[in-house]
Parts: sequence; C-alpha cells; structure tokens
Amino acid sequence: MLGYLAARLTQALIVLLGVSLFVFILVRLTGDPGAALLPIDATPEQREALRSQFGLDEPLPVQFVLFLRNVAALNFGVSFVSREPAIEVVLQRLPATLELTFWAMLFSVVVGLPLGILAAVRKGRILDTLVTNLALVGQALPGFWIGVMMVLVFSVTLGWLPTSGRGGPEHLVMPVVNLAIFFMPQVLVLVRGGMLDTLSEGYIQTARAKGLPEGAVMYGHALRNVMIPVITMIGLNFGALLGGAVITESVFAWPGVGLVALQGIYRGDFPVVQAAVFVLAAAVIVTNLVVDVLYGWADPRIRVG
Amino acid sequence: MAEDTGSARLEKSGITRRQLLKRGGGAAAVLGTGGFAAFLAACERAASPSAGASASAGATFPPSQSGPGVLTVGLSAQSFETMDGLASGVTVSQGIYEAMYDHLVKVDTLNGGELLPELATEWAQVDDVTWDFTLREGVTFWDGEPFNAETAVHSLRLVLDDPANWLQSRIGGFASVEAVDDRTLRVVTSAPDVLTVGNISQIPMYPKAYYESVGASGFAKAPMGTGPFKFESWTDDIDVTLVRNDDYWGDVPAFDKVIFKPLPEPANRLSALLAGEIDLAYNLNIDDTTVLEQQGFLPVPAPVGQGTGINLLYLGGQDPENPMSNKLVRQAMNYAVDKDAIVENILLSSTRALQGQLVGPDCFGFNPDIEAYPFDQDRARELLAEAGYPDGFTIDFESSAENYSKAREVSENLVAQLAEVGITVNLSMLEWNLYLDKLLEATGAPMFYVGWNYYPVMDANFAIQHFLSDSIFKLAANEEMDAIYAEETNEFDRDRREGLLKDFMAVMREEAPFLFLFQSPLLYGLNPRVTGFPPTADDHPHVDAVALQD
Repeated sequence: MLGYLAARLTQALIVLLGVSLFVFILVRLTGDPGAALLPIDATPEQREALRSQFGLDEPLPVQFVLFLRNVAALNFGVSFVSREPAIEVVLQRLPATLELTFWAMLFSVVVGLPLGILAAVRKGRILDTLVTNLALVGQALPGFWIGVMMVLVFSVTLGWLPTSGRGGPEHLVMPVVNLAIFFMPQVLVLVRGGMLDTLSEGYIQTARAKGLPEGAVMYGHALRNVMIPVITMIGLNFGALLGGAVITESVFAWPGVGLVALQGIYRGDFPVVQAAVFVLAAAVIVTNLVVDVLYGWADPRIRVG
Repeated sequence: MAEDTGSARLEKSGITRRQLLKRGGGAAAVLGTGGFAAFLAACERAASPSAGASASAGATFPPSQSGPGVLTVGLSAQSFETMDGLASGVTVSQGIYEAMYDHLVKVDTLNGGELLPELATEWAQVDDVTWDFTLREGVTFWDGEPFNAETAVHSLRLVLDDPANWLQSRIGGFASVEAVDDRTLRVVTSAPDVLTVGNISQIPMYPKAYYESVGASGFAKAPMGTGPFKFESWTDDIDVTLVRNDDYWGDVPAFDKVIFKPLPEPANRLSALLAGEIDLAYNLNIDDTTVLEQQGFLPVPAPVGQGTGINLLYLGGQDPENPMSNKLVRQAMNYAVDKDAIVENILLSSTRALQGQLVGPDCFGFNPDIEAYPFDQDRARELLAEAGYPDGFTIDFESSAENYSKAREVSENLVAQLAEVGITVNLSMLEWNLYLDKLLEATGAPMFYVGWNYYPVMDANFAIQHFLSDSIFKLAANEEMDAIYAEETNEFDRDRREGLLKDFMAVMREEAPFLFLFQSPLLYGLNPRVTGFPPTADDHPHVDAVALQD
C-alpha cells in the first residue's frame, strides 16, 4: 500500500511540474505585462522599472529557474495588480470555488441518482423517455446561455433570487443548478445504464428467485454494484466541474479561483494566473489520488496496477 | 420592435439598411441586441403584475433594494483589491477612492478642464520650476488628525519614493516637495512643466500619523481620508461600504451611505441594475441602451477624455514608400469615413465625434473653430488621384477588441468605408497585450486603432505630446507642430497657452496624422431614483453630488 501511494504521489508531482511549465510558457506568449499594467503613455524608463521590479527583465531561462525554485516553496510571486502574494490571492478564493463545486456535485447526485434508477426501472415508459431526453437537452445546451437565461427569468423578471455574487444560501441556488446541469445528466445516464446492465445479471435473477422483495433486490443488490462506477465518475469529474466553474463563476460573478484566473488573463497578471492554474491542477490531482487510494482500499485487485 | 427603432435611426442619418449591411460591422450588433431587448421586454410584460406591485411605494420608479438614503453602485471589478488609491492604477476602483479622498486641486472634467481649488485654496508660480500651494484651513481627517503641509508632503513622497508607482508618470518630474510653513506646500520640478498643477490633482491626500502607525498594508485595508464619505467596511469580493462624513469641509452629501459591489462582466451589472440590486451601473455595453430605456432605467452616456481614431503616420514601423507618408492620402482617408454614422449607428449616439482634433470640448485647448472633415468620398477620391493613387492602394491595419468599446465593429466598418474609395485595408484584430507590445516596439502595422488619453488632467498637452518628432511612438514629424509644442510647454500664461494649443490643433487637422473618429464612449445605467449624476469624462463615477429620491 505504501509503495503504491509513493508511486502515485511521484506521478502527481510530475504532472504538477508539467502543468507549471506549460502555464509559465503560455502566459508569456500573451505579451509584456509591463506594457499592459501601465498607462499607454508611460515612458520606457517607467516600463523598465516595472519589469525589473517583477524580475521580467531577466532572460527567460533564468526566469524559469527562479520560477521553479519559488514554486517548490509555493511562492508564485506577487500579483502585478494588487501586489499581494499571488498564492494568497488564489487561495482566498478557493473556498468559494469548492463550495460551489461541492453543492453542484451533491445536487447532481441527489437528483441524478433517483432519476436514473427510476428511468431504469421504468425503461421504455414515458417517464424514462422524458428523463433521458431532458438529460440530453441539459448536456447539449451551453452552460453560459442557461446561466444568462436563469438570471433573466429568476432574478430580473421574477425577482426571486439575486443576480450574482456570493452571500447567503440564496446566492448559491442558481450557480449550483447551472453547474449541475452539466454534471447531473452524466450521473443520470450512468446510473440508468448501470442499473439496466446489472438487472439482467444472473445474481439478480438468483436474488429474485430466492423470493427477495423487489426493493431489496434493487437497493441491496443492484444499486451497490452500480455505485462503483458512479463514485469513480464523481471523483474524476470533480476536476471537470472545477474547470466548468470558470464559466459559471463568470456568469454569476462568483468570486472563485476561476474568476480570479480569468481576470488575471485579461490584465496580464502572470503570477495570479500561474498560481490559479497550479491550485486548480493540484485540486484535480489530489481528488484523483484520493479516488485511486479509496479504490485500492475497496478493491485490492486494483492496487497492483 | 427593436428592429423598428433600428431602421428609424438609420433613416434619420440618411443611410439605408442595405448600405449599413454592406459596411458590415455595426448592423449585426444592432440586430443582435434588438433580439435580446425584445426578449427581455416580453419577459417583463409577462411579469408586469408582480413588478408593478413591488414598485408601488416608489410610484413610477423601477424597484430598488437599496433602501432609503442608500446608493448601491456596481463597478466592473472582480475584486477591489486595495483601498489605497496610490497602490493600484486599476481605474475601476477610482470611484471609491474619489469618494473617500480629497486632492489638492480638482479638475473640472465636465467643462474644459478648468483647475478648481480643493484642499489647496490657491496656488502661485514662484519661478519656472517652483510652485507654492496654499492649503485649506480647518480640514481634518476622519479621526481628527489635522490636514497640513506636512501631510501633503507625506502623500506626495509616497509616490516619489516608489519608482514603480503608477503615478510616477504624473509627478515623477517633481524634484522636491517641502512644507514652507503649516499652510504652504512648495513643489519644485526638475524641468519647467505646464502640467504641474494638473498632475498634482491626481494625488490623494493621506494622514501622516495614521498611515505611519498602520503601514501601507494596514492602510490598504482600513483607509482614512478627508473626503465626503468615510470608510465603513470592506468584505472581500462582496462589497465596500462608505458612510456620509457629516463633518466634511465641503458640501455634505445628500444621502447616508454608498455601497460598491464588484460585478466583473457588463451582463452582471445590467441584470443587477434591472433586478434592483444596484442603482448605478458603471460601464455597460453600448447596446444595452435600448433595454435600459424599455425597462424605465436611464442610460447616461459619459464620453471619456480619450481621442479615439486611427494613427496614420507611424514612423516607427513605416517605410518611406508607404502611401500614408503623403499628407493628401491621410486627408483623403479622413474624408472617406462617415464619422457621424459610426457614432450614431454603432455607438448608438453614446459619445460625440471628434471635431477634426484630438480632444473634445471638455478639454483645455479644444479649438471650437475647427471643423471635422466632412464625409465626402468624391473629395477623397480626388485627393487620392492627386497624390498619385487613382486606383487606391493596399495597407495593413491593426486593432484590438479588448480595450476599446466596439473596436471590432468600428474597425470592420472602417475597412468597408475605405474600400469604397479604393483603399484595400487588411485588418488584424490582435489580443491587447500583443497589440501593445508591437506598438511599443514599433513593429506594428502602419494603421492602428488607438485612443489617446487626455483625462484625467483634461489638458490637450497630454494627448498631443505623442505627435512629436521625439515622442515615444514617433507618430508625426512636423516642424511646425514641434515648434508650437515647444513654445506651449514653456508658456505659463494659461490664456496664451490655450491659444497655442488651439494653433497646434489647426496644424494637426491639416497634417492629418490621425483619422479623427470620436471620444471613447462610456455608458452608465441609472435607476431613476438617482438624480444629479454627473457624466464626467474621467472614466469613473462621482457619487458625492448625487441625490436620491426615496
């Protein structure tokens, strides 16, 4: 178990390093931040002063070595705009993003799971067709469009919910639903498919033949097996949800990591963009790691791979 | 319905829909928003009973959730980052700083850039480089610390001692600042600078004792000023609350409290305004004008002090064979473009066209006797033929959609209009940072879309300095313009200096190193309960003069 864990951790570190390198190069392709941060009529001397203050006057390889050394200490430098440590700017917003992602995930499972079971049980009936098609529509519509429409209908027209921002539970409703619309159909379809497969398995027939009540067959035998891929998907999709949250955060002015990264890109605030991508990547890697470890714990056969 | 409004607007300006469509750019945008506005109107009709009920107390006003005496403002930020106005050049928080801090001098950004007393009651020039400011008596910071020459020196020093401070470009040329006595501040510049007083207007006055006790980072979180509103609270990423300063030395605001909310996207601010969560929205999309009107809100255009147009003469990256080194060609391009139609149809009349000069009537140095180049494509063709290009020519044009409102639509429209006189323009839309890099390294295209600021100082000197032989961008090399500028920067008599600036404008119109388009547009959205909001040209809202009808 320990060896397995060590191997996975090493992999995780390599991935993080790769991501950092990638972002380091990418942000530098977008131009000189010294140009973007000062008024257009600033003198060359002022631009030079700014560049040297942030170490941007060093040759690129030197910058990269410095960058790597600092990343090892989780130091991404100081935000060009707010002059605060970039990692703090990002970590301050991480709770907001995690809050959004957590509730979206919970909502997806709480709604998607029973609907998926129901659809499987009523396969081919009206309810199944309705639910499956709704899931299809939900996945096909662009998330930002749904978000904008939700604001128009529920905030502007009906006045039920706040248009944007973070605050009480009422601020969470629309962003969570918006984000869940992307994820819930996946849960639903997976549960439905899994249930249908499992229900045709021999051991289910055995269970029924034993005369178990239908409820016990469904929840005691079938669902437990369906849950394994569902848990995997939840773990793997946590990252996708964090990524999807960038758009949701933008539509609902939700002050999370995605929004910080987006604004950082607009303003050429390299350190913040680098820190934000690093934190998001680390979150994805950690979740995957946790899923892997849980797996190994639940099913010793997986540990070997 | 909205499309009808669109066609009415087109007829008024004498352009048919077909022509506009042919010109590209604007038409799609106008029709696009029309659809959105119609949808919104339909939604509102469906929901009108409930909307009417909630608004019943305020008679005809759309609903506002702010409560009596409270103004809520939506600014285009994701976070306000700092309350220290010296720390960040991010203009969006300037509206907050403006409400909390006073300056020595105030620039009238509505009418001609006049310099008005604020914490300095008067100022006098001792010699070419020395200025004395007499400071207002009896002014205190919110905690009672008195404002005096020591505090003024301290505030200016905060900028001067920090080489990377964004305000260095304003007062970096100050050689020394000292307190002559309690009420007199003396500024000595390293070279004669006619903008000294205007530049000093940009520095907020901070309390010395308090600042030193809490330090820069403490001050950024819990600021202190002399302004009309006192800092109350700042909840990260959620809001900043200021309350009225009842002991203010000037006009005490007419309402109790102002709340600033960060709403990064224009769509966030529009929906928050329509839903009554904010009363004043900064920087909405120009296309939202229609929606605002239909929903009973006030669109307030505030043309910014920024002359927008196309740079035509760009010595940095231009070869001598370039057709635009010929003055006649540059004039022809000015004739070939219908500026008024662009302002009316693409910018929905949210700003004003430039009158053949780099600055508008809100600027010191504006020349009212100059006329804009009329829209006359026949004249343009004549001039092109005279210049030796009867069949036109092909030229590259770079623009960026991020930094200027509607830059894409305007740029595409210009390409179409110039094509009508035979000039083939290859347009590239670049990402802003890249665009700026090319500009600064003089590797850009010979034509580029740009806005030259003259705000916040509202002095034409500010904008025209780019059009000199030795300026950073080397946008023009004209001996007459150089000579007038040299004289102007040494002319400390304000009236005579204004005359010289006007002369400069006249020569610049004739030389046409620029395709004069319009002042950059800026659109505010207001709940009609807000009255007296001044549409200033300095790109941030001034809330202290506002009154609320509750």
